[in-house]
Amino acid sequence: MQAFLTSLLGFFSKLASLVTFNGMFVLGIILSIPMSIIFIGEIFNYQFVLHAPFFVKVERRWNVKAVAVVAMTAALSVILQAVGAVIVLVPGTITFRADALIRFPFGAIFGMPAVWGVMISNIIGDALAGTLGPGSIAGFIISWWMAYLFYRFYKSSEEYSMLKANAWGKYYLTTILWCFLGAFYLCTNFQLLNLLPTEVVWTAVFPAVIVTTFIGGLLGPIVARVIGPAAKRYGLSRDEMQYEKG
Amino acid sequence: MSSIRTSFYEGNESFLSRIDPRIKLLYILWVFAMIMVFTDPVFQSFTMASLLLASIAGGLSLGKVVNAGKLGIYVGLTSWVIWTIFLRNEGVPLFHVFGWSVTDYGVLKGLSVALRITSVLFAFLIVAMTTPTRDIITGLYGLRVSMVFSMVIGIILRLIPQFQSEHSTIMEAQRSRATEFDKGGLITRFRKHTAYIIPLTLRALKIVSDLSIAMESRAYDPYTPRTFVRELKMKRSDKVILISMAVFLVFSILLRIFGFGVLQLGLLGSGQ
Repeated sequence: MQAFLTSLLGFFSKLASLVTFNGMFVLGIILSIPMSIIFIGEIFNYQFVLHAPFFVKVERRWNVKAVAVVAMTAALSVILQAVGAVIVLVPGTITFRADALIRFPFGAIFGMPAVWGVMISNIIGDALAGTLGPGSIAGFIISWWMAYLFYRFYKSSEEYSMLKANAWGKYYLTTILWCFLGAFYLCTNFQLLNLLPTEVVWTAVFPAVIVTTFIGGLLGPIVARVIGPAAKRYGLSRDEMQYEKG
Repeated sequence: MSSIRTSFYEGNESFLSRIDPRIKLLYILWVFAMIMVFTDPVFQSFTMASLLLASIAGGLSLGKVVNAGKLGIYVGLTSWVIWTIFLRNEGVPLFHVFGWSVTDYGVLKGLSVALRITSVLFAFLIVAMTTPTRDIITGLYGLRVSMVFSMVIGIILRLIPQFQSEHSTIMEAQRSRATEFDKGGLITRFRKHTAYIIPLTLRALKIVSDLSIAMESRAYDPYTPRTFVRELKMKRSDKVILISMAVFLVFSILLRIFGFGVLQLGLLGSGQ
């Protein structure tokens, strides 16, 4: 398993070298701009759609349940971040990200409150762990995207409870999509802020983000299979919460 | 799992602890802006000096501040070393280690990045060590940060210890059922982790469901303005600090526009 993970890291590292670091950076910029625009749009309740006018106003209203779900998601995520950090998969490169197990499915189950919760957990996690820095800004935006993709791609309770077979396939495809988007966004920002040399950013950080997060999220559908119906019973799922109209 | 620290507050009575929490929160943003404006460590050292001054004004022991931020220092130092290695062929060689040159450009570039990485962290730590969590939340509200966000931060900091204790109980229960989390191959160990993640999440759902009922029964409405036991009021010293920060920031941006504060070659070496 360790050898497989190391070869996977090597593969993504070679891929980055093949595209060239400049090419990767340009690709990262091309992806980062719409990702940032969509993020800012959601802050003001404007949601991106694939047809004109491309951004539509969504009616949302905070209520007690939504506030509680934001806090729960963030607190759980911070705790699992600390738990996962002790399990080293490849020394110095990959640790088990237990928080990915809830970050991915929570976006689908609890909707936007969980998306904001995941983002806040990143800031609080960095602050409490003593790693808050300029890189944390990109970190919290990609964390937001982690749950946001699932919020957008999953709609019905059968889907987010993983009762349908295709929901599992969709889960892994969405996770892979995030792994690339997140890795590109983070590395582009690292290069922009000059936090690490370009070679290190694209040959070490880029593959590590992809592999670490994908491995961490592997068992997410099992978590969703149990938590989805339970959330519905407690009246905390995205349909029951009534945070979003329509 | 080692316990997660949810408050850094030291409880010392000092000049900094009496400063309005809004000013202290703005100070973190100021440090971020100031450290990003310059790339020359000489200019960045002004911001670092302000951090030293702030920790003295907060009556904080430097050892404690450094200890709280040791992980950040480790990240900063690693970045410094990596930059020094990667820029070994640029700039004036200062000395050689194992046949590799250590150049002035590598050292200064690495130092500049390390200062960027650590400064915001130390600004946060100094503020957190001199401000109770309650005041930080009041400060956020005073800065017109969304009421929901300020409220959520408060709830999270209370939920973390509660979830941590639930986590420990679940882990003990699973161990008593002979679950060995650190035995087996990687995939087996992965799978075993769902044995505490799922029960923990289910407990969290119950806790949060009870919490929302309690908040609802107290007629909590996120859109109604809150009242606070301690009303924030800026003193003359707060205003002086705020104006000084604004003046220094504008001055720094102007300096940078006129070409000062940019990292140059030959600063440490024999001159290029």
